[in-house]
Amino acid sequence: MRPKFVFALLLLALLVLGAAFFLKQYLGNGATPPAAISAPVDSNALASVAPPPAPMPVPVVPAVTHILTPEERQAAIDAETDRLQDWSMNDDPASLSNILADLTNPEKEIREAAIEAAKQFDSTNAIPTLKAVAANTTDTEEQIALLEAADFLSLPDLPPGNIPTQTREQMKAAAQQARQAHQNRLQQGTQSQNPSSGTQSSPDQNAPAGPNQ
Amino acid sequence: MKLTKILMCALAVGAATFATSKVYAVPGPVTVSGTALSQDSKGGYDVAKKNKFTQKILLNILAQATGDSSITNKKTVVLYDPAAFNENAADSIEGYDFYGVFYYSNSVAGLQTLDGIDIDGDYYSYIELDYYNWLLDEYEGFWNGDSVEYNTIVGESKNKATVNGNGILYIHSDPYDYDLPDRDYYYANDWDGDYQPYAFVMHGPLKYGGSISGSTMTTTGKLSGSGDGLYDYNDLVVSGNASFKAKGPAPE
Repeated sequence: MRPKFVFALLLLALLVLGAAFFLKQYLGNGATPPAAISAPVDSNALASVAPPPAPMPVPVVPAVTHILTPEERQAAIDAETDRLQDWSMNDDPASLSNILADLTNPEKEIREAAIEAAKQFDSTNAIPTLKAVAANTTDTEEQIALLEAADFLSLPDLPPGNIPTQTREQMKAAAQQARQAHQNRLQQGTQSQNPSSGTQSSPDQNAPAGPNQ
Repeated sequence: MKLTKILMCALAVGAATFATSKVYAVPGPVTVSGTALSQDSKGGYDVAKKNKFTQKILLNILAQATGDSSITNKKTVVLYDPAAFNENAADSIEGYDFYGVFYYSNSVAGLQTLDGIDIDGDYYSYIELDYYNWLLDEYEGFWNGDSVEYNTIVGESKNKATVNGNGILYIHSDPYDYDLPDRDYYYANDWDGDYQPYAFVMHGPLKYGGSISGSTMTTTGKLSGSGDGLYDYNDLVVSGNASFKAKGPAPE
């Protein structure tokens, strides 16, 4: 009986020691400080793919240190797209820099707005960045949009029109005349006789000149 | 589909709220960009010349059309409210309901509508966006099932619905050359001897959506398309896109 008792006692002691060791390991890991959940961000600082443009982006939104709720996230996206709209109407390097920085924003909605803003800003200085970001983008649709924007910016602008406005009476008369012609054509079924087709016999060569010509 | 229905109900309530209070939505900015092909010649041959256009050209057209030079001299935003009932159009063109109102805004002119009724009681406008708004169940602009497609394909997620349809954006310097919903519609050409100095049409797929975030509802849309153009009375073939974003309080 005695050796059996000693053996049981030793077995129990071993179990207690094993449990103590396990608990020590477990509690030791648990006491380690948790890793940061989200890094601080600002409106443009989330860029991670493309090289930053020459002038550094101006941080606009204060650092965020907590996980955004869906509402806060959407509000941040809306605020940034609003800012992109404003920047696109400016003509300064800082605005262009901010727009280009948002080409690599983690939010797709902001990146799309940034592409449109870059087009509206209308500067060929944006072309290298657009191409560089396109080269580092895995999203095929976005890559196409970036390259199309670069191609778009390389085109010459449509020159500003300078035909002065007609009088309201002239415009109303022209529209009424055209509506009547349209109605007549529909009634007579002459849709196939398009007087305007072709460049060799352009309608503008034979048609009455515009009111201001 | 349940979420979409909820969103639709919410949007409908919002529209009803707007109909009574007229302050439902905040008009949001409209942006256009694209390319224009025009006829040129080189070495005795016809060649196509390609130019780009941005919002600046839209503002230039509106400045020429309205005679308000502040549109190009100052920072001007073109705004669109898809949920707004267009009283001007409805009052002067009987038998139809019209939704969608365009404005421009700058520091000199303030907020100005881009349509109205003249002293003779006739309706006029400079810009229109025609489509069937599935979310609001409204006919936007001069939508007409004979000229603008009706079918819609919907995608949805939590508090958000996206609709794929088709639409027409028509910018015109002759304010009386607006489209009509009775098949009497016009494009930016001189087919019927209609000579106006500036006009752009873009007809094609329109993706629009509504999302509710907290107390705010956002409506966005993007039209991609092509069409005729007139510029200084010269013919164009244009392609490009137009986008809008309007915000307002979410229906309770």
